Amino acid sequence: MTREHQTEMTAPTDREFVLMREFDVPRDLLWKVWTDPAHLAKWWGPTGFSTTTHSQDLREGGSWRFTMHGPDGHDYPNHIRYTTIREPEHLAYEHVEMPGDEPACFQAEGLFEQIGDNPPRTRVTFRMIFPTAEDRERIVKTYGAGDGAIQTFNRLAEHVKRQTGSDADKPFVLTRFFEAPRQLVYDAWTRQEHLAKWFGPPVVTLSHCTLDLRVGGTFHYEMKFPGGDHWGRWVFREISPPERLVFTCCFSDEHGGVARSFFDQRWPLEWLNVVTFEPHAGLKKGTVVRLESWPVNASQGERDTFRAGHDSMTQGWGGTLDKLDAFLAGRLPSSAARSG
Amino acid sequence: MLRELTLGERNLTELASPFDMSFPAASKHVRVLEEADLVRRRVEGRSHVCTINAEPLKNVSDWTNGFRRFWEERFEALDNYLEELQKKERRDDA
Repeated sequence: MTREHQTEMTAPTDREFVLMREFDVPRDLLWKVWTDPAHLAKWWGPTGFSTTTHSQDLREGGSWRFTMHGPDGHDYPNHIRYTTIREPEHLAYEHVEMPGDEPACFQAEGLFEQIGDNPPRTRVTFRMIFPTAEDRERIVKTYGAGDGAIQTFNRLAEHVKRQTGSDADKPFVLTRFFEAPRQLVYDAWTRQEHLAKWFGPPVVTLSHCTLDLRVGGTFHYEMKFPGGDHWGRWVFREISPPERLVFTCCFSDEHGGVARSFFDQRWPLEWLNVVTFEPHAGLKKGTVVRLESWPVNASQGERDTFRAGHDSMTQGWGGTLDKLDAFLAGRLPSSAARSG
Repeated sequence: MLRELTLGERNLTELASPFDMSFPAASKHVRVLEEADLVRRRVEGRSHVCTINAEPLKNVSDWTNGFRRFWEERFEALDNYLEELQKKERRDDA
């Protein structure tokens, strides 16, 4: 979310990659998220990936076995052996090639330097060393390792930021792989003729749709639902082709004003969407789209409603029925509501 | 009550018992559910048999899962659309 620190990538020699980034957190926290499987599951790997740890023995000579699950549905089993563990400043390992694994052979090391105490700041330098320049090239070509490493660092930055922030304002995040070049995917989001085709419901196209693609400009549309029609409006805040789009969203009316949600009066009036388009760092070539949303200028009640709206996946059908039952019971005279 | 009714038809006494509700209280609750068109009631002799009407519930489910569902469906549509576009491009190139 913040853009204050950037990941820098350099190649001091033709068989190396070096990534460097500063983080506004203490060094101990970075060491922890880098070595604890519960944390690694949440950030290790490029955009759209998740990681499952099978076993970890965090000592020199010990192994970490894990599988990275790509957004294109491909699984990448991995086995690394720790060669240096000096908490909290130096971690090094080698990648072990196992029969049946994807071929990849390299050494890596992470250096964690605390460069400030108040506020805490830590610099991480991560170096990957391949046996030859050809090996590095192959990993870059086959897996998009360069993009992948930067995306991984960006996910690390977001993850450590979440550790220090409040859980209540956790944004809604949805990530998906598209087997299409990034420019085309970006165009699909920013050209009226494309938006009209896919942004509408499955059967009917958008019954109204105008796009004024500039900062402060709007996308204004009418959508037909089985239960009724609704108007929506985006206002663009950032347009960075082909990487990033930022816009506020609201329910609207035919004149383009701001309207309350038709399905829930407690839904926030406006929410911010950040859409990023990143090259997929994996075997299939394509683009990973990541949508992140959170309410703007919303009351606590509206933020709670928003949160409930996207967390409700986990509640299932039974939870929905119970909620409805309780809601209806609230409309009963008090004598009967007791056991609602 | 609604959850109970997803398991099958129930008469009022059966609906009231798990909640330790009186018959009139249960009847009132069912009346509210009837008004919301979520429950249908028919009288068989002295027994009031209730059945669930799932149609409005579908809307409720859409509403609570709305945001995620909405974007998942949009992404699905985008995926199909991009595939179509690229097929068309390849046809045009051929």
